Amino acid sequence: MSSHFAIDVPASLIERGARGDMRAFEQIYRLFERPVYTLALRLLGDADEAEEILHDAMLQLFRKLGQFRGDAPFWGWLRQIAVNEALMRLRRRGVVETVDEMPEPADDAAAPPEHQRDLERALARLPEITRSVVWLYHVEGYSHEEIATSFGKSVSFSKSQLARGTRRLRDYYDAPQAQVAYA
Amino acid sequence: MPDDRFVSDPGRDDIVLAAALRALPLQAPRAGGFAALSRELALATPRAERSAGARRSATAWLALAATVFAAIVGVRALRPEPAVTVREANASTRELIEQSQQLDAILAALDARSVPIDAASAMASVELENLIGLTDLQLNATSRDDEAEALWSRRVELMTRLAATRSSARFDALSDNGGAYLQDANYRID
Repeated sequence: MSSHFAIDVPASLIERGARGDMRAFEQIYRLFERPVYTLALRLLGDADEAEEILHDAMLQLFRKLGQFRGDAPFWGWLRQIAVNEALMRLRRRGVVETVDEMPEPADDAAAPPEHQRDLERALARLPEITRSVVWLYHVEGYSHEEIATSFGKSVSFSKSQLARGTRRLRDYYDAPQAQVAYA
Repeated sequence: MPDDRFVSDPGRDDIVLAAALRALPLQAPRAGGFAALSRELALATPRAERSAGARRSATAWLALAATVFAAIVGVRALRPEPAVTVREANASTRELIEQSQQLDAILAALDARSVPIDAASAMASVELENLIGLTDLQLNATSRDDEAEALWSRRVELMTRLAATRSSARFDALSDNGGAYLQDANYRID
């Protein structure tokens, strides 16, 4: 399964949007509002801020639509706009925490996840930079080089954040299988 | 960028975790986001530019009408034929009719790729379809140009909402089914 962004949009719809046709732009907006919002929510962990990112990213899209040349998938172009907007917001927050500083979970919260809600909770408990790297790599399919470029950091930064975040999530995710094995 | 790198790269041992993360459902923002964006764009766009854009848009709609004609023939066969035809209508109404026709084609494409959707979306779709049907009946009954224009405008609005409801429901269905309906999770609207 690929990114939720992977939607092929007819060139005619993009061209109409680029000419300022609001009905075409609304169709594009409706197609991508949930992927953009979900990406922002995963990276920022805040519903209100995610809606602001959706708004800002779509505003950017509308203004830049005439610059789209079609040499790459439209959805990838829009996704990068959304990622940039979300990462700019993270930078403005001045986040400095790393996964090493993450507190150990309390006993009642340490129970392994049994369904998606638990995985979402585990994801939400990761530091936001780590969570963003994990999401971009595992869900959006970004390479370490692409993540490093997006964050303005080194490839080793991306690899270390991913390794730590993945290990933490995997601990949660593998725990139910371990319990079954020992039963 | 390739999206199957998890499978092709033997160095990765987190396929299960990645699949679980990817299977998390899409989240929906609160309603009204596009209306707010439209208002901001309208305020930011100079009036002269908006007028020029509207003229270009009208031209584009006329050009697209020919390309969607074949797609709408089947849909029109299922719906009452409104009394106001393109030839009789004024320019503004003609533009609305052409927008309505293109939306017909988009809805037909969505119907052709139908997947099971949740009950709430199905009920919303039925309600919108009923309202569209009612609008068609009113169009058949009216002989006034101003009424016809208002009704065509309402028809376009209802069909836009119906297209958004169906495409959104499809996202949910595809996500809930782990992308079973997708080949490499690509989703195409023709």
